[in-house]
Amino acid sequence: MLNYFRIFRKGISPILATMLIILMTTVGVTLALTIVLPAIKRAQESSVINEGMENMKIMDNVIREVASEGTGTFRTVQLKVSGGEYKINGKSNNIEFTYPTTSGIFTADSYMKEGNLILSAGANAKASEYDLNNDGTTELVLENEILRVGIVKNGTSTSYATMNTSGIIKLINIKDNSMNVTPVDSSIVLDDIPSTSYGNGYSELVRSGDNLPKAEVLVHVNTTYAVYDVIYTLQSGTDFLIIKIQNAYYR
Amino acid sequence: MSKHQIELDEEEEKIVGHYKVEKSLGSVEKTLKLIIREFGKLKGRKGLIGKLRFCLLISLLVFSFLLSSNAVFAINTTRPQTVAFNMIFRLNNSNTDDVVRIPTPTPIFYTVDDVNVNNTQYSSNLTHAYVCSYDNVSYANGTTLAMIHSGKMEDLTYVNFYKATGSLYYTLKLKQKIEGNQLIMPFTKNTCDLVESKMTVIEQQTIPNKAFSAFTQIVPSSLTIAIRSVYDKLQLNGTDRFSSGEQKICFSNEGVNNANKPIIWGRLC
Repeated sequence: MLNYFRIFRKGISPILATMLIILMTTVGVTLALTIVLPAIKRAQESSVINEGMENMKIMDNVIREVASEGTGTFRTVQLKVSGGEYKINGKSNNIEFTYPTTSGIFTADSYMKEGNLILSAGANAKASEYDLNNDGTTELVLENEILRVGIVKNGTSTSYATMNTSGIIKLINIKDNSMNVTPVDSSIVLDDIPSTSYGNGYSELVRSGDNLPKAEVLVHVNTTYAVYDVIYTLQSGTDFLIIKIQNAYYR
Repeated sequence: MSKHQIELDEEEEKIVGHYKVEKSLGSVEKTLKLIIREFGKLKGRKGLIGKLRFCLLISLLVFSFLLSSNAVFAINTTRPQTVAFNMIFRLNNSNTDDVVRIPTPTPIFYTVDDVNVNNTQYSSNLTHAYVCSYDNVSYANGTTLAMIHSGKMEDLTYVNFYKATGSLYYTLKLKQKIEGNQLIMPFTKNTCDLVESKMTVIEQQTIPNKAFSAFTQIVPSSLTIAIRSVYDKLQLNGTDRFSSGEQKICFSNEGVNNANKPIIWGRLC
């Protein structure tokens, strides 16, 4: 056998060599595409999320520190941002970091609470304005994969209109079986004082658009005795509405 | 100033001092006893100082009454403390098949139909902080709507179910402290058993991380991660957004708002 190779030492044919090179390149590229690149992408996304968490912690600590000290206290923070978007949201009273991922580092129902910070995954909420219940008036519509919620649209922050909390929620709809509930009253009463449920004010979307982590409406209620905001939140991928009172005070 | 006057002034101080102690105890009875005792000492004393002391004692009496009736505190309270959320509705075109569940140690169920009920259950008598309604007759998979208290159990005041005879609708009501709490209102498939089964999760993490029921959802190719910090005890102002790069953010304390919470202004600087 050895003699055979010694006699016929001509090398492999150029066609075979080319095919081998193509094959090896294809295997190399495939390996890179299927294993190496996703691993790099995963590492990159993980790094941005870790950085986001650290930056949020820094800002959260500074905010609480400034709040605990007196009027006029001032702090500056320097942050390195490699990705994602940070938003100071006065309307919903929070700071939010959002970052779209594709590497599958998190699943759609991921949730984590670390100190004062909450991490959640998913951004299929939508906030828009249209006539949801076909009553001829435009509603503020919070929508996600499961629900649609129609909230009364009334007034603006510069021009208050009549606001009765009994009619704030106009419709809730489960999308996959078109099941609706139309409350005849969804009122809010503070400290058992009936007149705190109505007055004037306005309602508006906190942020309009698609692909949001949550869709929110702010309703400002200005009554004879009390003033307050109500935040209606529909998170991505959930089948429940969150209702929270904030900035409430007596006149 | 005469010696007699100094003695009287000292005595007045003593009375006021006593009053402060009594006020801190918050006992009208004790304050009244003190006033009667001190009033007894005034017997035989006449003149301007005696009358002044009499007026002072009467004022103390009125003030202690106001304190005990909470009227003074009510006037001085600047922030509402509680909120009651009401929902008047029905789950189908009729309420015949709607069932209300209240999670007391032995759960209470009402088939709404034509009952006449006004049932209030305080948090101390509830195993979990919710009131729920469902209909699994009109809908094969059931439909449910609940009001769930999200926060500490002691911050829930009560839940209530109200239905008057002949009424086409019924009321679910939940009252809670405002500070640090919120209402979760699921509207989903299934029955109140589903809500009951999720309560442990809600009690642990406040807001559930996923839907109560399983729904067929298209898995998106991209998933957005959101990290947020929410504030209850301060008012955060600002609208700035920022992304990649070196960023400098300034936070300043701008005083307190009408709700007596610090106003923090955040902006790029």
